Amino acid sequence: MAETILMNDNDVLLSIRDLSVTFHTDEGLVRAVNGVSYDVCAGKTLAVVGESGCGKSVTALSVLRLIPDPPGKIAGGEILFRGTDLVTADEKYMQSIRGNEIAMIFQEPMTSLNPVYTVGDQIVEAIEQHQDKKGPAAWSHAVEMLKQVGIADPEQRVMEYPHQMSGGMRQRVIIAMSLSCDPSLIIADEPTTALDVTIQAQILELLRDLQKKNNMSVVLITHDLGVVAENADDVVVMYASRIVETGDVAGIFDDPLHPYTQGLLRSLPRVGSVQERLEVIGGTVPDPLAFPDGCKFHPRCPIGSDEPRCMTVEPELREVKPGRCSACWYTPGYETKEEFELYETKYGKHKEISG
Amino acid sequence: MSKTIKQHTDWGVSYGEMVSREFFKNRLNVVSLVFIIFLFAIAVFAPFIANDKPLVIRIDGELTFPLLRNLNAVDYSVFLAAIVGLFQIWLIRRNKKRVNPTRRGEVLSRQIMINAFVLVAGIVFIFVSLDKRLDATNYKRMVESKKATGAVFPLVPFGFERTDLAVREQGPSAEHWLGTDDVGADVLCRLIHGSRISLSVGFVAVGISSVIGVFIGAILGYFGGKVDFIGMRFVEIMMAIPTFFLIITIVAFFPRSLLNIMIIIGVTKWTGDARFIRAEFFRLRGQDFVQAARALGLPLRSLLFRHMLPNGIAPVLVNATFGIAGAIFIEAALSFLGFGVAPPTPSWGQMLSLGVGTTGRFLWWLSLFPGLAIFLTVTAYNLVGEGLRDAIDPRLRKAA
Repeated sequence: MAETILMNDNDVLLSIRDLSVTFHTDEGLVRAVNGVSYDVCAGKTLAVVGESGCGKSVTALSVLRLIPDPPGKIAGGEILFRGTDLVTADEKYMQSIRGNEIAMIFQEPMTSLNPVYTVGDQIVEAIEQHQDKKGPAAWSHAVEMLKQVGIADPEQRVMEYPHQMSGGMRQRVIIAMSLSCDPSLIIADEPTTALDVTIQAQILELLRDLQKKNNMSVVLITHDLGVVAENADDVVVMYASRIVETGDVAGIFDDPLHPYTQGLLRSLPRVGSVQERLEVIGGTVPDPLAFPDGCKFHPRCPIGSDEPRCMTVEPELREVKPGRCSACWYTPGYETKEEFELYETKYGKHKEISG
Repeated sequence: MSKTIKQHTDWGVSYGEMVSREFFKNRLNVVSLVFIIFLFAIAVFAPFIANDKPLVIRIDGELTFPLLRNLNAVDYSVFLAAIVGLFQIWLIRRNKKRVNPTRRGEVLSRQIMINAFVLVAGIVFIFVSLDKRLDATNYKRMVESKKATGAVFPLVPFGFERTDLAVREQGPSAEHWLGTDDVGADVLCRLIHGSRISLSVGFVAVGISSVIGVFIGAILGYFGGKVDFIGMRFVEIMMAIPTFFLIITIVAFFPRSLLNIMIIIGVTKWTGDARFIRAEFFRLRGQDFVQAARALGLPLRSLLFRHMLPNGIAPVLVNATFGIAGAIFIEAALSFLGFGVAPPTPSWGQMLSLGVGTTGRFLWWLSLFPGLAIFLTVTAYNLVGEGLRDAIDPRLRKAA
């Protein structure tokens, strides 16, 4: 069933509106996030997909206002969480949201725990910060959380230091810590990238189970399309600081609209098909200090690399069919009639697109 | 059954334990540490080691304890502090084995609070209740004139305030092992009592400078940006001033007291610590676990001092041991120049300056022995600092 992302606002938990984030570096101004909007519905999983450096993590960090400032700054837009704008909220309010309402799971389980405290100490600190439980009550809650995330012998493990645990176990601890205050939204920033494949599957299954149990929403940031297919309800595809395509997971995988998404899916290895080489998207992600003019994907695009309009005018994200948005001039149904005519008068006939 | 045993022995190896294991592997570190502990013991028990009052004496058939009667408020305070300190160390070790980790923090903070209260209340009580009794009796003469019998004197039977012009500026002899100074006081006795000054100057001055340095460095390092820019210029201004001359200048304006010297060294020596902590916090600020702690909604206080500080304190600890050596050195230099503690309070640097003698003769024992004491103490602290630095260095430790 097709879930609309930008339209359905009756059970929207988090709504990012036209968010822009800039970084002032020595080399110049970097627009890490540029006019990004998406909604996260209650109890659903939204996957944010894109290459490294496309701005997906920065968007997520902005939600909790965790981007390092300086050099980073939220330059514009709003982040509405239950109707409150987190961009303008004061630090005290943010503190009560962080970990309590919105929790975050980081990519690197090996470095996301403080090496000088036992895992119990760290979970308990979060619990004591946000809940009324203190001392022994908080500790038994921590043990309970460890049990929930499937750590064997939690009474013993809670007293251990992070370096005594494996990567998968630490990620479980981190999940336990983020869930300890019963948040309504979890932002998981590549939660399984640093883990090996069997552990990846376990961790994702654990997240799914807990999400169902606690009726949480999840923003799953990843570059692994396999993870997206298995876990997400809705998908946002980002490229070079912008959203290029949104849709429900079935739609994105069956009928990708944007050439970038199409390229991503083509470059997946397929079980059962014999291929000499995997397909790739040629070229590299553009330098954020010098984004190309026009559509940022055009230098790598099979259609737009020699298209005069793609090279000069950047397409905005538009809804092209119910629940599906794309930011490409060549997505069927994207152009308005006027634009179509303007193009024909300016550049001549449109290119034929196969498939 | 085996599980219950395991639970009480394998509660994880903390960072401190790993460092101490590494530290004790090197024999030179151990020797230095033992020497420092030995110095502390001497400083604490100075009145029992070197005193002109006998421990026990029988006067007119009556047994009295002049040494104990003559201990002053400072002595009692030092004993109390030593006892409370050792008790706290014992408690911490005991907590590790006996107290369940779920309650360890709570228990520890309660213990520290109680002990600190006992210490402060005890010292106040000592100073209020102890009136200064000056016992000018010359017990040695009483023994010689057979007025008293059965006297047991301490190892060094001289008082650091007792002068005897008859034996001034004499070299080492059977009676005065390390000779006497310009007013005939025993050098060994003054050395022993002088260790109190040197050690306390080192600790208090470095304590003050570390607290100031850590606090300023933490703020600069965590916030960065404009705060850091302005703060660092201030630190640089402080660093540009030659500390020793600043200290001499300040000392000239304030009364010559030990406390003033401690404070002045403390408030001028914090720049190194501030820079260390700032650099560490710059590094730590970007670390995942700090981000994770922020993402959990922990307050700034907890981020800075609970999560970042323990991970960045190592250079400050190392610097502190060097700093103690440096402070001892500065105090010795100040006393040598005559800006230090006023006589008759003994200080190593002040004794060193007496080596020139009143008649211009070079009194080698007055230069050699205090000089050796300063040299050995400073070296021991520097060796401990170096050992600590190596033990903490993660490159030398196996990846856990």
